[in-house]
Amino acid sequence: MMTRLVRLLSALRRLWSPARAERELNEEMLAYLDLLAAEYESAGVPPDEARRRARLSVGGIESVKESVRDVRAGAMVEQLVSDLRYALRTLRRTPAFAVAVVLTLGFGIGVNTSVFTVLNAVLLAPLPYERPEELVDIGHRLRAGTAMEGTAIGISSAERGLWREAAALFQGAEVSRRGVPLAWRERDVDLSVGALTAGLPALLGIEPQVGRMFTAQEVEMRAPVLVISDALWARAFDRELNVVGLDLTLAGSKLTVIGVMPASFRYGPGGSGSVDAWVGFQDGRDPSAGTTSVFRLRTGLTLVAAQPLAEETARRIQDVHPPSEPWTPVLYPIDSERSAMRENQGTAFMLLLLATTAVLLAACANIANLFSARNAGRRHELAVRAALGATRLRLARLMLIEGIVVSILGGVIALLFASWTIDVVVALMPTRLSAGLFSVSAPDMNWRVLTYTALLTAVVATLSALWPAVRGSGITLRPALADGSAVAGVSRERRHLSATLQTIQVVLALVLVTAAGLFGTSLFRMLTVDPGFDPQGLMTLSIELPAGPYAKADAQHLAASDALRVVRSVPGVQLAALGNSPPSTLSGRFVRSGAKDATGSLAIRYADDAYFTTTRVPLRAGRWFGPDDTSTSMPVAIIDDAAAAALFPSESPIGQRFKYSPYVPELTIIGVVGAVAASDFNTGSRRFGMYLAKSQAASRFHTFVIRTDGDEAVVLRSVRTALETWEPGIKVSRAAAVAQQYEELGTFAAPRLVLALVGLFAAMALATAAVGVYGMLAYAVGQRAREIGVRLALGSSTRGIRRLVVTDALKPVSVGLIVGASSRSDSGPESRMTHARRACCLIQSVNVDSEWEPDARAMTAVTTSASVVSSS
Amino acid sequence: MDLLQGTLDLLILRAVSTGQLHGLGISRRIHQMTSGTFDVKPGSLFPAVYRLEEQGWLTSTWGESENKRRAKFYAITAAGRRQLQQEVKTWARLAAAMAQALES
Repeated sequence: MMTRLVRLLSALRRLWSPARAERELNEEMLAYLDLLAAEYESAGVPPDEARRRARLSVGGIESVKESVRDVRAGAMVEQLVSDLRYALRTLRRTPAFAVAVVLTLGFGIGVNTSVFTVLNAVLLAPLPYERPEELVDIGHRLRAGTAMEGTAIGISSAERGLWREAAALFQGAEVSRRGVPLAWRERDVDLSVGALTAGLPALLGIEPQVGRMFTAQEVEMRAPVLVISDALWARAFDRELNVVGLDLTLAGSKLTVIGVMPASFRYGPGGSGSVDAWVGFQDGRDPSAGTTSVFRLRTGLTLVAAQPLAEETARRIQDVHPPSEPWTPVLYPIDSERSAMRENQGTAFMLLLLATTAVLLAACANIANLFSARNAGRRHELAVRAALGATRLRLARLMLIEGIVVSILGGVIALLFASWTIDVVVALMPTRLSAGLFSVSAPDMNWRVLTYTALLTAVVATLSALWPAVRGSGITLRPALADGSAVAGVSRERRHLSATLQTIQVVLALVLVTAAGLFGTSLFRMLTVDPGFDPQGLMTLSIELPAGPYAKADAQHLAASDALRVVRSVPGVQLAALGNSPPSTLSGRFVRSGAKDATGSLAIRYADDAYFTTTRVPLRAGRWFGPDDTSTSMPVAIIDDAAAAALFPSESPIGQRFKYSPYVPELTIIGVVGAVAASDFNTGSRRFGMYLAKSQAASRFHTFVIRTDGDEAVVLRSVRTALETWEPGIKVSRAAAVAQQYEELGTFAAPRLVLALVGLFAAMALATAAVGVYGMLAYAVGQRAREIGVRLALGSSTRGIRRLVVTDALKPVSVGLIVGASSRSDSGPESRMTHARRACCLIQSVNVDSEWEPDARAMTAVTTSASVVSSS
Repeated sequence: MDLLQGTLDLLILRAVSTGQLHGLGISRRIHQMTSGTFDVKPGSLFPAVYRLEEQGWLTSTWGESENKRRAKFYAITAAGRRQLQQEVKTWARLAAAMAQALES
């Protein structure tokens, strides 16, 4: 205890005034020398000789001092501080090297961090509720065990009431309804307004961050109150606290804001689709369309253990409410959407993470190479330090600390870089995609991300500094002190290792550059591809007729043609027709008449007789819909030429019959038109276009396609006004230019994002490869300075030396280029040409950058050696 | 002759147990005590002395040497004395055991 205190005090004292401890140590050594010399003198040795002998006998004062420093208390800390200071000084002395290394590591770690941040938010972050594993929804499994097995999601409110009473199973059950757009009069925009039962937040274990939640009484009395989302609070109210108490006019009724939900509640309890505000939901009285139940299992009850209890309850429920078809209950975790996403996209994310890790590892190897190259240039300095008593461990630690310092700086850069990239990536994402991906958690740099980055930085520090430290610290004093460069040059296996590394890097870089090029080409093709219709000046708009006067099919058909006449009469409208906007389709499965199974997926659109001339979709065979196709005539359909080629490879499709759903009558194909690009043509899912006659399907909902040569926004506004004047009861929605719809659907945004990412990786890999070639070359030239000098002295020309160095460097690079270029086996001759051109660019960029500097070094070596030769 | 690990500390403590000594003095005293068998070089002496001081078994003061040179003198502390007794006992047991082992 006592001794420990003494040690601590002496350590503190020395840390407090290191200079004094050093001075005393020095004086003690000198005293020892003096006393020893005095001893020799008294034995009759002359003074000078006595001092010489004393020095010889001590055998290196500095070395003695160094070993004393090693045993002193706090020696570790003391040396660490001095090593740190020394490392920073060394790095400051070579700013270009330091900046290059720190930036390389920063980008490498940064890209990893960004990918991990997204992965964390999408796949790893738990639902931000209390014990989310207890939260479930109930579905009905029908016809279990048969080929017609299916599951119905969503239960009636009466049934929910019965489930709620099963106290052995659930702690509570609440309901939310998804958002519906309501016009917000004060701001002239739509708000997506959902509904909640009063107890839902408490069931999830959250509460409003500002204000309060509405009470069950308020919901019961239909009090005009609502709570808003964090996103709306930020977007429309700048997070002002006085938003509580504010009145909003939504769809004509005045509602008072009483609270703001936390950010974690942005998208409802488990599903996606952003909701801006919530009103009260009366279970049992409000319509149940679009509702989701949330049950909380009793604490400690697992899904498996709950299943038999649920089945028992289900039997009781079916006794009370005999169903049209018997069912068994299914309990879903409300996080199941994300589980599906984990399965679908988990692998993709992992691959992305692996790819970025590979780039980072290559970067580490390079930096190790760079450090080695630099340590080679410092052999003399290191040898001097070793001669002054620095142990091998000490030297290794010194170099290790340099590696750690740059890695930590790199880690800091990485965090800055990652927070910036995430903003950019999220901004590049189409809103629908980002809302889906980040429905649970926004991509934040939370503790998990920070831990990951810290760990990564530690690994990087070890990888990039350990090897050079071990190698560089093992110094043989005499040759190093004698001339500072080895005669024999670099060892064979070391050169092999370096060269292999280089080849791999060049291959990696080339593959990524090629991938970026291919993505770019296909994106360009996609953007310039004929979409199958003419999007220029094409707009769309939907209406919903009021239920009262338009309940009957006849009235609906009549209203549709009246509305179309109104639209056509608006100034600026060239052409107008009834039918779906090209990107918005319904899904169906093609089952040929008489066949049992579906042979293709269908993208279904409604169209009238003027639809194809308005959208400019060409007719290939048969006829368009006509005035004779009515609700009483034979049901007809038109397919596109892709469908005709795939589904009727050897016969004419005209007159053939099929079904797109088991619940509809058979349709007869009357025509074939050109294929229109679907919104999802980049996803790889292949759906064939099919058109139904609008005149054969009565509905209160109608969509128009409208062509103009004027200003789209102006014409859309006039059309809207004209329709509202014609029938004040209608609701107009989804008015937009068709091209803009494609944009919003993210048809092109997703590939653009991928292109940006792949491009970034390619640039990084290229930079890494360049750094690698540079590092190896610099090292090799440093090691061979003497050999080069000898060659020059023996009459080699400057050009010859340059050729020697460049040829050596080009070998691994060219092997890499050949391997990398052949990595795409299916490329045709012209695309191989593109490869060749890209490869040339790569050679130039890598070699011009990296070889200039080592060449300069070779020439310096030359002059130095030449002067040595001439002077001797 | 090379010193056994740990015996240097014992010898240093023994050397200063009869009065304070400077670095060279300790070296000379050990030389004399062992009849010239051990010659402790400064490279091993000083790290050991510093370590013993850190342990609290030695204290140091700056004083004047026999030929008027300012030098650092080391003296044994009470804890050092206890440690010395302890180590002497251990050593005696070890030496007896070794002797017995080698005789039989």
